[in-house]
Amino acid sequence: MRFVLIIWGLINAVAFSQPPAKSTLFKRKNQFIDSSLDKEGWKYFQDQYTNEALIAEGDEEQPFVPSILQSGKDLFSALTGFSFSIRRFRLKGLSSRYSTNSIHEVTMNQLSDGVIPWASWGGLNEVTSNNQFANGLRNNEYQFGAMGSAVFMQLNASKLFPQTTLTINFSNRNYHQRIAFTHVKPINKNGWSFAHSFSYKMGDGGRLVANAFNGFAYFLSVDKRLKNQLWSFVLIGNKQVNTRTAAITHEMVQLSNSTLYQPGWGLQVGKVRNANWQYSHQPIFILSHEYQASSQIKQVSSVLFSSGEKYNTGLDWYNASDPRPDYYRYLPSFYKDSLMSSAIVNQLLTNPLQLQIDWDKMYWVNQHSSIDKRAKYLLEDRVEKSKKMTLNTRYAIQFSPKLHFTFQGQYKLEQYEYFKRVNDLLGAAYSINYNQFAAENLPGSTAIQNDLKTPDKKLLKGDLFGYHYKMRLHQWLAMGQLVYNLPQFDFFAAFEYSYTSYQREGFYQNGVFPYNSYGRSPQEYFKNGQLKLGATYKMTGRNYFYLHYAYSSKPPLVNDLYLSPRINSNKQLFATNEKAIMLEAGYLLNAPTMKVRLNGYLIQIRDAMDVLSFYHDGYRNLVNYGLSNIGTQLLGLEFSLAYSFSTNLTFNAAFNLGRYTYQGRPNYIVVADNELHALESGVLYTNQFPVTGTPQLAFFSGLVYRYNSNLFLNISSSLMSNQWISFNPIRRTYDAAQHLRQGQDPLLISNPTSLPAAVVLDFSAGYSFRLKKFKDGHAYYLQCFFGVNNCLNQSIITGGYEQLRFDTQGADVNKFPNKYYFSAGALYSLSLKWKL
Amino acid sequence: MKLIVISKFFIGCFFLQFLLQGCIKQFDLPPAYEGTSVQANTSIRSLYDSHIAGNAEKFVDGEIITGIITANDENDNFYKTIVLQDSTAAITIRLDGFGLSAHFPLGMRLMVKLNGLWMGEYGGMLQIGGSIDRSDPMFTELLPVAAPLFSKHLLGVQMEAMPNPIDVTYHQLNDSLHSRLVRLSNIEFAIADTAKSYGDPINKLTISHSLKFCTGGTVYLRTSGFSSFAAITTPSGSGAIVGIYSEFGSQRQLMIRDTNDVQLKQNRCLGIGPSVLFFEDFEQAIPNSILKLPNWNNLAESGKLFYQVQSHQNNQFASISALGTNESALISWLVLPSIQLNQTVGEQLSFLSRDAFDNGASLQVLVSSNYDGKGQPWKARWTNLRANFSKGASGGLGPSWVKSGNISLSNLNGLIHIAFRYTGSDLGVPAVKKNTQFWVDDVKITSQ
Repeated sequence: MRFVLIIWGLINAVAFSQPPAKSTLFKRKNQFIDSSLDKEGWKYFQDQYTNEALIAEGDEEQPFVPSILQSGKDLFSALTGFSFSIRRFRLKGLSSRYSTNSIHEVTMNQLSDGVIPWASWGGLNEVTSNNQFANGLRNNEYQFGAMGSAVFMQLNASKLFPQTTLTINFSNRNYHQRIAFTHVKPINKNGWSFAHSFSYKMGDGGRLVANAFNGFAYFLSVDKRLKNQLWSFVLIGNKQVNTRTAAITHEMVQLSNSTLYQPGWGLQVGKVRNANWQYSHQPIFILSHEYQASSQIKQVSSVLFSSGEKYNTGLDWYNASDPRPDYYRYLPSFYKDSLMSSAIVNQLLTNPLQLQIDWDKMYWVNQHSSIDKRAKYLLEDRVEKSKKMTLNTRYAIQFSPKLHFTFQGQYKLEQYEYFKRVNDLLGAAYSINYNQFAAENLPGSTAIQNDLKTPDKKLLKGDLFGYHYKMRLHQWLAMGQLVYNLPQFDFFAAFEYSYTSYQREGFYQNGVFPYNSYGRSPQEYFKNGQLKLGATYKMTGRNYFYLHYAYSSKPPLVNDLYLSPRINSNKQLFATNEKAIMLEAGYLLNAPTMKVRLNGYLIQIRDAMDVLSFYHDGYRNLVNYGLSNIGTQLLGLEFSLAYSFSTNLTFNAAFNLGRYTYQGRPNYIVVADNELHALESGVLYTNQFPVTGTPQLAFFSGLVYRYNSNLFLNISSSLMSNQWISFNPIRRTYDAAQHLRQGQDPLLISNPTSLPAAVVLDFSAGYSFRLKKFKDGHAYYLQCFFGVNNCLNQSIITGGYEQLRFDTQGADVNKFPNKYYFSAGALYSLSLKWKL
Repeated sequence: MKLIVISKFFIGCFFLQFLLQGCIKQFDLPPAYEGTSVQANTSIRSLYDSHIAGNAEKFVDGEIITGIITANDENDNFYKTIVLQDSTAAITIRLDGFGLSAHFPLGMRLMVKLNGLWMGEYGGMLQIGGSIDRSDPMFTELLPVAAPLFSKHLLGVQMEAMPNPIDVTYHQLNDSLHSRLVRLSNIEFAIADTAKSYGDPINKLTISHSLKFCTGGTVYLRTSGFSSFAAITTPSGSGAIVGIYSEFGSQRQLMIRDTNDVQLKQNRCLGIGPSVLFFEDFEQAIPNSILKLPNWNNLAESGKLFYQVQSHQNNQFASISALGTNESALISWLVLPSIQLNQTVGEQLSFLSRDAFDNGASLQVLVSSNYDGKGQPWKARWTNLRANFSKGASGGLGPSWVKSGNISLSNLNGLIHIAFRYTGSDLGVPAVKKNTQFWVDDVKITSQ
């Protein structure tokens, strides 16, 4: 306690040794992003790499809780956003649905999975950096916000910083070159302003042999300011094709002698070809209107349309051997006989290409194993086609200088269409729309038909097959907020009511589920409310204390509700709204040489649901685990500090101390896509298990040296620990415990797996040249940024998961061992930016 | 001005779009596989010749065989198995993988580099595998070749024509045909096995159906419950059937690749040529119990000794021995169901017998025209039939089954009964005991 007081005293002593600055807490955040080499400059440079790992991994095997991270203007996030992203740090341990992102006040989080579709505007960092950030429950002027964080992007041409820039980036990451051109014209005398930006990213090979990346992003914004109105039009989109990477087991690392091993590629006629791709192009069109009705009342309305497609490409096979070279039956560990397994080790070490896909063989099989060249192997696209429409209106009423009201209403309509599509028949003449494994379970029936409406359909390139359905999601919400500012205190209260409905519409009548696969399912309705309250004590213009409380109830995500929507409309037995309570208290110091934020939080989440799907080669089909009644408790402390020793040297530090645990025992049910009945159900013994996928302890410290406002050097180190990998629920069941052998330690199968602590050293430097100066003061600059991440060239496990398949009978955790993502070695990036 | 900027922007977009499309690599087809320069240096027959019965042998001399694939797991009747045949013989290769048919289609010429592989027996059949499991020293087991080693040992050459199946009669079936593709003509399913599903697709069980040659003799058609045609029912006609010949214990078996192998479209054999009036191989009886079959009589005239069903090397038969009864005079009868001889001519009886620890007990085969089929047979009038019985195996089990020879019944008419009568004793000093064990199997009555 005394120690805390001393620290607090020290902080204050430092703070008060400087002249007081005027209150900035509710100051309108900077509308303009000055991308000159200011103290934030290097962060924008890093921004574009923050979500990199997530981009590359795709969602083949979904993490237990998908993670999303972003950086923004909040000191804590700004300091740690990039450095912690290597371990997928999530603010406060919360899942992605508790962080929101909006463009022109339209929430971008998808109703289907709660995720923010970052890829839709990826690569346009020059313009998308213009955002505001609300951490935790702090009130904002737009929306209810979120427990984790809320980012509000403003893309109006007239609100962007006027600039003409050309940027070229080089790096050894998954893309190697990027070229971007951005032009923002200031508002002219007729009230028009224009902005556009486009970027092209590409990568080929590099550290990962089969890496390929192609992305083209575009942005156009036109504003017309009338007297008290602002009409804005924004078009933003990113078309991107890139390879996906997969997690690998330690055995593969040993056999290939590399943490950069990837099973997804192989040689075709001597050329490297990758099987796992992802594509995304979901352009967004927004029309918005701001209207200052009077000096007190402002109305902002937006309408958003978005439509597009994204898909993952991967291999599919039918009555042929598994083409994945890291399939467990192809590895020495599968064979108990030591002679045989050493013969296999020898074979794999002397024939390293056997650890890669054999394309030539697949072509041979497709062309020779049957007379009419029916496909045994093919490449499929797992497509999600989306159409979105959102209407949003907000009234900001400044009732008095002290009292502000905000009313907001939003209607969202999202439609997602899912199907599989033949991408490449790999030399075969055709395929048939069959589900071979259903035929094995229910022989001699029509179960083999994926679609009874068009039975025995022959498939050619581009044809749809497998499954085909649509999710129709609606949500409307109404929000009211009151902010009351007194000289020493600020108060706010906000309430939101929402109404959500889900409906599945099947376009295929599945042979196994003929009665509940075709047509529209009954609608599911959810009514929910959120409330938050907060108070801030403004001790001085620099010292703030705050206390926030929130209660929230959210509908289950549609992806967590339907057990196997690909083939039927079966839902989890107990559909419940997800309830959360949050309490947060903190201290903020805002002095010229020192900024501190200390924030403690307690979050309890109840009745969450989840659905995990994976390919099970025993059932030879997708198996789904439906979890419900999941409870979590997130308790933690965030601290961030920026202290300037002098005008040149700043010391930064931040940490997050978290204790995130699962509370209680969730229910589970196991269903396979080709079985009529549930395979298993029961209770998971996961009480007090750690929340996985994010480091619970994370420390950051760094030094920034600036000189003459045209040079900076930045060195920082991060420590991340107390992290566990996503666990397989099925290992924590009564059933699993029953199959333990006499004397076998039950903790061996039930204990979650932790990741070793990681220490990462990052360095970056920037220098700005003035190329030419004009008489009017205008000048051309060239800014150079250079960064090295992971300077110590370590091979770091960035994440991982326990395989969802488990050898229950043998109670052997090593039969399907854990898989890990690796980030090997130092990453370099160089950025050159011409400011014209 | 603005329009120019906007249009420039869009034109730029379009060009970049094309650039982007162009950058997505198009892959060409691989050229046709050009075969391999590897040459075979031994024949499949020579593998059989070098094999020592009951042993398992590892290949260490760089042996290479080649052949055409005649069976695989295409319809899941064969499991983790392919069958390779050359001009000299055929052999079953066990491979630890699923979907083998895609990589080893029927008609493919395959080179097998045997170095490091093993051969051993499974139910008396020679097979090639990847290693030997000696964890139970009394019963070593041949393990299949591990999937990651396929590319080391198996080399596809090209697609060729399937070899023609060899036409064989029942009597020509022998060990040298193991794993060969054979055609059995003039054959039909036993009445009880017609219109039955080939396998048991519900419980995924393998089912054996008796295939009867019109001229006598039984081969068992085994079909896995996992096979794609398991639910299809067996035809009732006669004709020809093609399959892979195998043996398990002493049972002769056939496995088909798919139902196209079964061409039983003609009328049933009865009436055309020699046909089987009666046949019993005891395979459907409950082993290790007192023999109880419909319409059979298993009776003790003196003492309390009954015929048993026993099993040896997966073959079932009737068995009797006075050993352990401690009775002085034992007479036991096994009476077959009645046979009507009025509609047929040239009837013949045959059976197999085998003796063990022979010390003088006797087994006779008798015929009666006045037994009523219900009561005590010793009260009816019986005539001894001259048959060749197995005897003289005083030190243990006789070396092989002994054929009775064809016993003519053509001088008999009307409803007759045939019976086996065992006479022995098990009392007193060993020297006077007469407790020989007799086995009887494949009791058959044919007509012309």
